[in-house]
Amino acid sequence: MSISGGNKTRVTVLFKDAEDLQRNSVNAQDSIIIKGRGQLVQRRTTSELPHDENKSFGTVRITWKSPDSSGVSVIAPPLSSGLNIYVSGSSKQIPGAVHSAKYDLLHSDEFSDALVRQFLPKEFNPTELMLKDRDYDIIMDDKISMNEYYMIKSDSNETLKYEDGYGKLEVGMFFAEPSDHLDVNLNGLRCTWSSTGQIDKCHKTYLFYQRAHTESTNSNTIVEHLEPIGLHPTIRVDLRGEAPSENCEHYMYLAAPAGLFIDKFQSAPVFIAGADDLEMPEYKIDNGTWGFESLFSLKPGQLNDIKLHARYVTPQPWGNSKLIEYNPIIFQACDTGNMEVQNSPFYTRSLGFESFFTNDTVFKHFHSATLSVSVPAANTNDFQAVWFVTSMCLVLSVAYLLIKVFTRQR
Amino acid sequence: MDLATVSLFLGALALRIGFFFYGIYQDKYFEVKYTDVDYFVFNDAASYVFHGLSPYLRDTYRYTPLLSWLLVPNHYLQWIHFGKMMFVLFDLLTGLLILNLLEVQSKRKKLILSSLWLLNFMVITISTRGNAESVLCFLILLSLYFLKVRQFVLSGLFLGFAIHFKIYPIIYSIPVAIYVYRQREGGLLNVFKVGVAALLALAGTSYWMYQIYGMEFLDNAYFYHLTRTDHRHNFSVFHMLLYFESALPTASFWAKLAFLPQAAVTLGVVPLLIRDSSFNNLLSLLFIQTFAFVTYNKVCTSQYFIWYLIFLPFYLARTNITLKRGLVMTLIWVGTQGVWLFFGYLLEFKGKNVFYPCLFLASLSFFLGNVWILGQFIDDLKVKSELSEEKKKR
Repeated sequence: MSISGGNKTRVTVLFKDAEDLQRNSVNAQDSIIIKGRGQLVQRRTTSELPHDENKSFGTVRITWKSPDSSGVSVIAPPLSSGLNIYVSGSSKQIPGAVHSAKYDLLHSDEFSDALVRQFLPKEFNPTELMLKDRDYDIIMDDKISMNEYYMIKSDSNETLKYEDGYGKLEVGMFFAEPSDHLDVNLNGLRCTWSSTGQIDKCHKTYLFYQRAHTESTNSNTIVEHLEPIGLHPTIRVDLRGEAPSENCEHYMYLAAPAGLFIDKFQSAPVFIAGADDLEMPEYKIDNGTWGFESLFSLKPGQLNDIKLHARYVTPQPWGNSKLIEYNPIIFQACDTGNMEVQNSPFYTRSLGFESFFTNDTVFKHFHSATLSVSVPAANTNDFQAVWFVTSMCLVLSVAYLLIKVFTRQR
Repeated sequence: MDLATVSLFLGALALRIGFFFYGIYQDKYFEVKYTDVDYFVFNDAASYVFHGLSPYLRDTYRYTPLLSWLLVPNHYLQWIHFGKMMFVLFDLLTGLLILNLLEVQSKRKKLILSSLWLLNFMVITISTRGNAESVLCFLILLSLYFLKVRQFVLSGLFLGFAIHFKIYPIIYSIPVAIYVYRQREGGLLNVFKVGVAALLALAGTSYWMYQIYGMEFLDNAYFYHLTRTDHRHNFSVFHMLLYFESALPTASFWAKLAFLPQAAVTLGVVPLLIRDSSFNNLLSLLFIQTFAFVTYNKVCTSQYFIWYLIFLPFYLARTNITLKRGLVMTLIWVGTQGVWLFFGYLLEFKGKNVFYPCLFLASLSFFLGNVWILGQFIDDLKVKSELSEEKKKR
């Protein structure tokens, strides 16, 4: 997707191994065809901001994590679920945002064109985004960089060729060679296109870098709700399989809608920002803040319980319940003293939970889960009956008692 | 103090010590804590005071700063449970005052009636869980004790402190004034003494707190309670209505006028004192008045029942209600409360949508049950007043 002239487009395809790369990629004169086998693709388009763009923010990061997201990889950063808009250096109050120490955060479980348009140049058309099965990470500061992540499905082919608006096009096809924990060795080739749309040249390429995000080898879900959930859900994080290690701490990053809240005096988070009032119902939260963002320190080698509470929700026409979903992110953060971990060619450290940690921090992510709480809502259709019966009871009972007081006893 | 009374006190003390240590055990080893959530609020507020800061830095601390001051030793001693011992002490002192104020012929009856407070598991649980109601109960009964011994200034001072501590004892001002006025000696002068002393204590402590903590003291300790809308489920008959009214744009007048029925009944029962202005009748009336106040309150939780339980022994000392009727009344009070608690449990812990009709009807039955019980108390007090009037005439 182009925004203005002076673009640069880079497509990176991560194959499973060398054989996958050799078998499933075909180079033609003007295109490369990849047979789908679940390869991960990153499409990055970098553009200059339009000259007439009136910037009232320092940096804006917009992320979208689709339901089919492939998660953390050597070329993809971890994203929080749903739509998240991080804004720093804002010259004005952003209505409904959570104001934390590093940025303002807006969140929505569903993608919202209107919300995104508030922050991106008008040339940007969010309806072109393929939200069902692609993740997006859009960063706008002096330039605008749009990263799109998706898998090439087994029953489809991906044709990579020059298109108008791509600017300078470069395609990299790599597979990861076995390496140590943080080291990433990508082997493959890189092709560039000429301005006439022909493949200019392809080079064998070997990339070596260190990454800041890894996934735990333990694929078990370690997060769950304790039963019964009720209006006071308890998140249990099972870290019994984890041992303490020097320079490392375990954390849970939790961003959740305003229907839930944390009693900071009860649960002692490292920080909490946003809807942290302990008494308000959801519908009376100040400024309509969508929810809260928090970070909890966890203890390895044991079960960690974190108590949440549900707010009362707006009565609804047919009562029932409001389903509130949230995705805690569980990770281990370690200080390395090595600043190289932030220099990934595929991912620039930006706004998000990482920004609460130093630049030399590496993160090990644990398999988490989407948790949900069903909060009962009163039925608005019952209001008249409640009003009438309560009013009658109050008036008649007062009359009954006063008559008792002021009449003579038989 | 005779052996039976000492034994009763030792029993009461032993029970409280037992509950106190069991509470520490439960807090340590059970998921559900014994200690009241509010106690942690008091303790956190005291922590701010200990560090030279305002107790109102603790969200949801809506009380006088004096309460947080009481718990500052928790932080000197680095033992969170110390404050509970204070509350237990006030609870026992309240029991002592009940014993002192009870006027019954039979020694045995006096012990049984005071046991309603001293050996009452509800009372013991509330103070050992760290609820501060016992401090307020003590102040109210101390004020009444001084009233009985005709120390009007001291009585007024403690009534003023009690109102500073929590606003609701202000409802006792009118019955107390009527009682004092109708005494044979010093009527109006003594009303003046009680009134001025109460006003001085209330204004003095409040001004002192205002000097230290400014508007946040007034906002949290007083104004908040006048304007609060408790939308979350509680025993109050207003609960469902206030939930709807806090959320819907078509609000009716009840959110603003909920105090009207409460005021009508709380003030409406005061004439029951006119026919019999004895001290014992005053205590019975205060029981009925507090019962009415709690029944019609915008918010009602179990701890509010303590407010009238302190007067129950005095009421029962003079009642003509038969045992059978008394049992029916108790059954209704406990039964309707039990039904509410069942649906409250389903909502709170199972997340079931039982707002309407289950929880609503449960609140309503508890309310109507309480109204009927209140009616029985009123009838009974009138019979007693009439008998006492006839006695005087004879």
